[in-house]
Amino acid sequence: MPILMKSYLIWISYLLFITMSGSAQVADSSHKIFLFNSEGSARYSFSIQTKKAELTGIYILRLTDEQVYGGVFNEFGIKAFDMIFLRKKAKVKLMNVIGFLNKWYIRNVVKKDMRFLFITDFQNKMYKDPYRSIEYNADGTVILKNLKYGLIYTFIPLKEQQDDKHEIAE
Amino acid sequence: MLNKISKLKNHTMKRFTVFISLTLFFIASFSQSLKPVSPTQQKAMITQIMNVESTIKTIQCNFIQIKRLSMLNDKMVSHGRMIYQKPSSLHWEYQSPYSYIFIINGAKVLIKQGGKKNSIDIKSSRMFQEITRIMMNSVTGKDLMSSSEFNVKMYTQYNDWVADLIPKRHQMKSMFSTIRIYFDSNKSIVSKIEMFEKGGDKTEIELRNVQINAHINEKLFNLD
Repeated sequence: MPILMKSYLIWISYLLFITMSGSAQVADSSHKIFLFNSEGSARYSFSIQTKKAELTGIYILRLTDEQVYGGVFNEFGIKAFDMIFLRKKAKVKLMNVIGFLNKWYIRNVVKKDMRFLFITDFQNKMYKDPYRSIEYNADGTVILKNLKYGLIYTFIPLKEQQDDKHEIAE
Repeated sequence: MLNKISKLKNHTMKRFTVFISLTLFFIASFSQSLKPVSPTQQKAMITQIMNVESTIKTIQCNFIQIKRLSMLNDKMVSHGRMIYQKPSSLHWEYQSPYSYIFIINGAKVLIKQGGKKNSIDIKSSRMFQEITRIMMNSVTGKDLMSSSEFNVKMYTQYNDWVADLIPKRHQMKSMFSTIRIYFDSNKSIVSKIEMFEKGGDKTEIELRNVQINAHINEKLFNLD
């Protein structure tokens, strides 16, 4: 009976271990804002609302030990900009910015807004800024507001695409 | 002695395997590559594509769009459907992983995203003018005739005809370095579009279950 009990306990422990490892792979919980998966990737439906217009698209993020890479493009795949957040320096770099956004004053505002967002995410506390605020909902939606320029950035998580790897040949 | 022979055999076998693998690799690479065609052939191919294009009144299909991001070493796959009706109506709908409907109806662009609807005058936005032009002319193959817009170079690959379009105009150049259109050589209709960006990114749109001149519900070109 004790032998049976022992093997039963081992079996339960093993099951618990597997379950816990599995759930740890679903998301990196150390981030307050972005929902990175086990591969360090996060995908959002994205929009920037200004006083006059709204730009929509997709925001893809990839997390590494040193940096966060971001790519923003519209629904048709046309690139708006690429971004790198240097984690140690807490600095944002923008690259490959599309023509109509490629003005120094637009780049500066976007860089500062993204910096605020990533610092808040990595420090896991609200970084104080009189002009900016972040709201996040239980469903993973993140809303960043730039009160000075009346900008609203909205990030809505996209569902993971499990079938893509099988469907699309590299 | 036996040991030596066995080693030699193994060595020869290894070299033979490497040789066979390399040969197969080169054969595969060569057969996949684009083969340029002569100017006369190019003219004949474009004429045939345009002849078929002139008979097309409607196109409907599903599509898979793959956006490859070079810096992130990642890709985004979207699925949707496309409906086109001559002369200038297009319904381009993403169904997964996001919902987004883009309609061109004459001079208007209608957009539906997340319950929000928008109507934009095409002339008011350069960006939409370019997107509209690319989408309408790429799905029909009309771009091949736009000598003021693109330098065109045709190739063959397996059973496909491939057209490389190098943009001439500044606006288009700022978005794409090359637009590559694949045509099914049997039907002379577009099967795939690849858009290459200067930064190394690429967007592929593969058209599937293409139906030509099937009946289309006009309501698809409105958001009501």
